[in-house]
Amino acid sequence: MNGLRIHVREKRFDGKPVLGECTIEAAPGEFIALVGPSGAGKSTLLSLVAGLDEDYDGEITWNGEPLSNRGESPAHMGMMFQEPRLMPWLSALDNVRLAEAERMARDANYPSNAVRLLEEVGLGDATAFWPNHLSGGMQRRVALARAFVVEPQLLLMDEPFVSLDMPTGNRLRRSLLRLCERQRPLVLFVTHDLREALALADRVLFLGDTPARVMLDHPVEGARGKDLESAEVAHAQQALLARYPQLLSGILDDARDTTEDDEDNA
Amino acid sequence: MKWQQILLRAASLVGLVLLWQVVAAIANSDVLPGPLAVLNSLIAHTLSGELPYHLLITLARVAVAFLMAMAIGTAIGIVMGRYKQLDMVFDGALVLGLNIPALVTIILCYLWFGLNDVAAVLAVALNKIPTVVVMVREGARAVDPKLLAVAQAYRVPKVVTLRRVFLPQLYPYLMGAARSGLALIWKIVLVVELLGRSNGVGFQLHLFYQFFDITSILAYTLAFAGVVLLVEAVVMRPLENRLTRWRT
Repeated sequence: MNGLRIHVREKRFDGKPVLGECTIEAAPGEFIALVGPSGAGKSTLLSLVAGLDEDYDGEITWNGEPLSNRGESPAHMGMMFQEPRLMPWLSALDNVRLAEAERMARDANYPSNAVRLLEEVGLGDATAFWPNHLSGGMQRRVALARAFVVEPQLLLMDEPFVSLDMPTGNRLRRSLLRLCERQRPLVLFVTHDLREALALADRVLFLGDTPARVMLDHPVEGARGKDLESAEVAHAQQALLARYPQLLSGILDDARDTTEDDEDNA
Repeated sequence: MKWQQILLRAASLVGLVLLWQVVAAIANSDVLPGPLAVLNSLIAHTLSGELPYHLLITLARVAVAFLMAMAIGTAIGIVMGRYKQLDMVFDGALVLGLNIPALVTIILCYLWFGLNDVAAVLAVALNKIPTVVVMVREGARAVDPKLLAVAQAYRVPKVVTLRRVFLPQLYPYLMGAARSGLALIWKIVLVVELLGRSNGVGFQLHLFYQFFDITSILAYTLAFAGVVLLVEAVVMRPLENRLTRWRT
């Protein structure tokens, strides 16, 4: 199998199972959105892949090999969290360069890409600023630059654009897609906003049930790269919700199946 | 704004000196010499070279004891703050260390290691280490696991993580420990010198005490206070401003 394969048999928190039997396969360069109600274990799944949580039963492999040693994060992995999580005492530039520290330690002559990436996300003039002198949207841009400075093959995003106003969010999403086009990382993008998933991803996976599992694997057509409030995204969302009205509550009841059943009974 | 602050600080000092002068004039006795007499004595002691000599020796002891207490206390504090098991193991010893009277440590150090500078500095450091541990442990417990997760996710090397992610979160606690530490160490060093050394400000004060030389005692105290204010202005405050400038 080429690419990422996540196979979780079980993940428990305080003895309570949060993730059940769950397999996700993704090819290099694919953009996958994970959608589900809160508490469905989406963030947990990401921290397993990130190597931040090693207490689970299962395997995560890349091209058939373990993605990383247990207790270690994979190389060439970028990550964005629900908060920007910048070090407040480091300038924007030093925050991005922090992610390069490992490369620098291995190769003293490694040329830093931090400035170029900050320029690409539109912060070329703000490299010397401390995070608390930057707006919320700009802080996310620094976090975005940090995620791409490691030349990621794998990009993990845990609701990275949550609680931003619509235009700011749209600009960041466009920046993300532009960076993805060049770098082509495999992206796992957690969100609870169906429109955001449809506007970004090649495939949307719906998680639900307790313990959580993948309920539906939905390929996206026509809405990718569009703004959240665009007609294309609205259309894709309507089509999906018309078929599975309770999808976002984590319940998969195919409206089409029930009508067919009714016809059979008649 | 800046000038106003300096003016205010100077005014408060001048006020203190004036108050001293007034009280001394009212008392009109050898027990409380006025500021001018003390200043004259200070100049005389300085010119004779004896005050700078003893002051420098005391400062050297303070510096060594301070650095030792901060280094050891910080290391133990971080370990106790991060590892629950070790925290439980050492907590009893820590409570004991916090509550042993300074005098007991000093006397025991002199009895065990002899009347020398090693024993003197060690006694001072031992008195200070527990309070550093307590403050740094508090800071280490408050370190944000979310920021450490960032360092782990980006495979930041351990040394860099310590310097750029972990320690900056401890700086406020370290500054607090350094401030209270210096204050305590000034005080204990003098006692240590009085009890078992033949030089230093503490020894001199003991000498003047026996001669009932209040003017000289106050002159030495004044010199000492000057040094403390200087250290605060030249080292502590600039350091603090530098470490917390990102908050502005």
